[in-house]
Amino acid sequence: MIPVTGTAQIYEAMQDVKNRGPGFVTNFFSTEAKLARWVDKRELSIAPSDRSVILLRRDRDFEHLYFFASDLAAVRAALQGQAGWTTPLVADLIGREAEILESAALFVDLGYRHHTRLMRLSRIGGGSRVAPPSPDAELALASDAAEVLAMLEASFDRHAEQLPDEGEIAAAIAQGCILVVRDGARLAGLLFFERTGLTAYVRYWLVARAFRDKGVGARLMHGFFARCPDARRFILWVIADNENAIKRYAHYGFKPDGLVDQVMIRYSSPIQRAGFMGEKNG
Amino acid sequence: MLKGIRPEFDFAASSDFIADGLLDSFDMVTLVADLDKTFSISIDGVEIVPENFKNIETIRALLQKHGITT
Repeated sequence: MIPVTGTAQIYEAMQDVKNRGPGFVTNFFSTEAKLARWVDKRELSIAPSDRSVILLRRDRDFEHLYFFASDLAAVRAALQGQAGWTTPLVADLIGREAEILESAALFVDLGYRHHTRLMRLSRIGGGSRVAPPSPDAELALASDAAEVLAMLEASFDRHAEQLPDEGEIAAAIAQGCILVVRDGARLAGLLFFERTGLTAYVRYWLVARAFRDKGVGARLMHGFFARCPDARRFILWVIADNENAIKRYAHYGFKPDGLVDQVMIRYSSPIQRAGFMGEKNG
Repeated sequence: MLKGIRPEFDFAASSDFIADGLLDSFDMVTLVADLDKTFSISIDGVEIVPENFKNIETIRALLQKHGITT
């Protein structure tokens, strides 16, 4: 693997794959801005060939694996050639159910396990559909960043849910994209969102265990809708078997839109796997 | 094709699909795959950037580079 020093290195490697002809397979859907941030933080390494590009992104104690290849046979060849990797690897296979079956089978063949599955929920149309509670949630402060990170890391699955680092959280707070409800000096809950034009994306919606069923989540969700009055499309990803969360999102008009993310993971040894499996994930 | 990807949006009313949030990065890659397949072309890796998918005109220009007139 070669360290990535600029985004052009990635696009040129993808170009080499596309020069082979029409059609490609990929699980790499990063925005330019996100990609530039990963490059700046030196989180990326790349293994290019004429039929495939494999990208690894360091994240805490594992790496995300992305591929861009002329076909799945090229992905297989590339990953078989990298069998000596020792860090746990996580690959998100994103698409419609039928589209990812073949790639999921390939990853199982290569020693990956099904870790979990997320599904995307969408809501079309703006405005809140149920009466807003009061008082409203408030914007997080810069001094909340460490607590926000601690809450996210304690409650969400870091392998599956693309958790931000403290720098990303600080940037989101500066942009007014994290809402919180406080209980004295503690955070009772938070909602982390992103806006791009008419689309608003709920990244994390979380109420601390001690404050559940007290209207905190509703205050956060209404605060979010109130800050996105002109959004036309709302989206989020949720663990597919988290019926409680799905039911809560449904209350606000979110429905599955058919896109799924099959999260595959490969541990390099049984000991490593035991270490990861023994940890609590929310 | 755009309507197939995001039926809820009025693409004719936007001059910047990306900035307006009509297409996200997943949609853009899906659109590239659809265009490749439909027109039997191979849009270059370096062309898979938001500038080429801002609006109907930039997509048309991209297709014209590959010999497709719409």
